[in-house]
Amino acid sequence: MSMDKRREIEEQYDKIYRYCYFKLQKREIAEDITQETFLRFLESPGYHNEGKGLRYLYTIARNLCIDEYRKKQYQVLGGEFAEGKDTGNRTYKGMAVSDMEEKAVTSMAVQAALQELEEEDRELVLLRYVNEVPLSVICGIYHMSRFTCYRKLKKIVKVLKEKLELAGLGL
Amino acid sequence: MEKKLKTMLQYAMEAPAPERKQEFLCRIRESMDDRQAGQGSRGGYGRFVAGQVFYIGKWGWCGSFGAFLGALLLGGFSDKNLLWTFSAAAPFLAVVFLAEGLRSEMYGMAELEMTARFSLKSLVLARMGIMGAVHMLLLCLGMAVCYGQGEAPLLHAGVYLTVPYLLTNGAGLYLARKMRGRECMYAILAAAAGVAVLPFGVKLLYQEERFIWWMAALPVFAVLAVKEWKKSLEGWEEVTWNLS
Repeated sequence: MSMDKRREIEEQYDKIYRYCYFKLQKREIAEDITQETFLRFLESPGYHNEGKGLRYLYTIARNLCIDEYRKKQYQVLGGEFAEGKDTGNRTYKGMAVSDMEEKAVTSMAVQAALQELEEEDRELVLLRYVNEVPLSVICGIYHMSRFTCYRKLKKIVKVLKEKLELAGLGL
Repeated sequence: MEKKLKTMLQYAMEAPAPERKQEFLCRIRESMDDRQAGQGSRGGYGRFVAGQVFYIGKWGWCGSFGAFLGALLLGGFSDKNLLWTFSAAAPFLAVVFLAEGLRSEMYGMAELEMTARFSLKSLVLARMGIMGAVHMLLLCLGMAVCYGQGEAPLLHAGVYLTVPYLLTNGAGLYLARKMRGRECMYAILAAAAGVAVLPFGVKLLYQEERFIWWMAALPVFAVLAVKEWKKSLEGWEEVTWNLS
């Protein structure tokens, strides 16, 4: 495997893992599926050279998550995001306790607002604003036109802002 | 989007740090090799192709052997020339071949098969390879029968049987690219019927001095059929996954 490919995997690993974790809410399983995604991706070199790599990667991850979800009958809404739990080994080095508390409260409010969105809308927010996936790739994954995707994201952000303002988080 | 909201989202949607990332990155090459070895033990490409024999529909086999036996019986028991009946049956062999190749697309299964371990292209190529080999055998048998009965020299018999087969193949694939579903099969059947009645309708075509035309048509139709297959396979590669 070339160094470029390895670097690309290293870069995308956390994002794919975050996406799987977001869908499954189980750390171990999300990591298993992330690794399976990369192995399947590497098995099909045809897609790497056609500029469809990222889209293919997310499509594999999405399908594997759906399979896993069906197998285990997960409660998507009942996971750690939904409960506003601390999600693990975050690094708080150098952060004052008051800052941590404030961020935790803000985070809980954002999670609560996110839970009120449709599942696909939450997924779109994660892909676009957290994983920073290009709009063209998202359009490919969800078979939407660029215009539809843009409008949808704009609408989601508007709803999210309203909910956050209602929760007392002015933006 | 405002930076503040983006930061808030990133923090709220943060996942616990992955624990096995470095281990995975170090062992990725070995993991790939293990998987390939595992797949190898499950059966290589040869076993995959052999396995596809059982996925060819019974109508595919019945149609192939039925067309051959029908031509043999019709030619043997009627006053029609055996060579003409085989030549008329060849387009229907091509229809069976096309029906098998287009089955996934016709029943809307192309996208589903693309998500399987082997790509749709591999599946179709394997099935078409098997079907094509059987048809080649049947055409050779037809040639041998015609030659044995003194109907035509071996070369003539071969050309008279292969040209209608290739013409129907090429024309059928062209129609399949232009039309969808059942309409496409009806159009292919109509085209095959048109090619099939040619030996009975235009007997002049089978005169010795016209044989040079047949010889010229053979490579042309062969190239046409290959080109159409190539285009169809490229088309299937472009089918996007619809997994939503």
